[in-house]
Amino acid sequence: MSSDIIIHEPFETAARQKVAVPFGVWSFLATECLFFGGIFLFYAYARWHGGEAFSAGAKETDIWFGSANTFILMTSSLTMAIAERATKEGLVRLARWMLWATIGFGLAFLVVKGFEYRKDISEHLIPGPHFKLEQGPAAQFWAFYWTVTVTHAIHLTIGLGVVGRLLWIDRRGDLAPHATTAEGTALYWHLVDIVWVILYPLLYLVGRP
Amino acid sequence: MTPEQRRHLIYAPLRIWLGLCILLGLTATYAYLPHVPIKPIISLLIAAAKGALIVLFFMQLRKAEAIVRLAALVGVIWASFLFLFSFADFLTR
Repeated sequence: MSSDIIIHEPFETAARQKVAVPFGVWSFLATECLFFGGIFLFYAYARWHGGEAFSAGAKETDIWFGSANTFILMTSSLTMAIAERATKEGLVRLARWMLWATIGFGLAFLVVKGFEYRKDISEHLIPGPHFKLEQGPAAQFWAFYWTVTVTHAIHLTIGLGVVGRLLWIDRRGDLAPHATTAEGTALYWHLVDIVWVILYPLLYLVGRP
Repeated sequence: MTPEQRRHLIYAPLRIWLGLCILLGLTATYAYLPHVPIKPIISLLIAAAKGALIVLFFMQLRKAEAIVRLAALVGVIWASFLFLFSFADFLTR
């Protein structure tokens, strides 16, 4: 890192903080791995138990929305990676632009998701009394769809908050010394991207001909 | 920005992003090909490859300290126990 970093409690040295931050965030991400692991386990069991009837539910998802959002989120990971590296190198102007771009892509993802939800709702794809498909495995697929995409969107919204916090730190004029904060933020943002990367085939590709 | 910084900050992440885009194109195309085998497995393998690119290069686990790699690995190992023990039950009932 080209610039000195601000040392937070309880660390005594910058060297210790530079290891502890990624260690701490990765430990948190391990719990996220188990959290989403439980949701994915439901999918695996329902797919195994429901067979073709479960996959039939997946035919109703819209691959254009799903693919566009995968592209948007992968691109947000690119801008986040550049922002984090630029912060470490003390290139604050570049970091600022890339953080704004990350927030822009994150918001774009939520807007696309909103349009997708509107389409899903208008097509009666919510399990319940007016559900478009047969109850049973297809309804289980759509229960998974709503649970996991809303959970993911909440994670993404929290991500927007932590990226926004970096911009707030930048407004105070000391982004470069917060390089470890940027690193922790970037790790979280990338995990939200990875979860979507795994969801993409499970939600949008399974039901294709 | 020095040429070295430009390589590290711009070109290296751009290459990873390009790889991710190619894999996205591949997986979407494969899903629509008629009469090709093991579609779900291929799509999950491609998703795993995309995840590996993000973890190793964007999240820079490739250059991380051993203790950080260990923390990253723990989540995957414990989640694999979750699947292993659950399916050991489901498949033998």
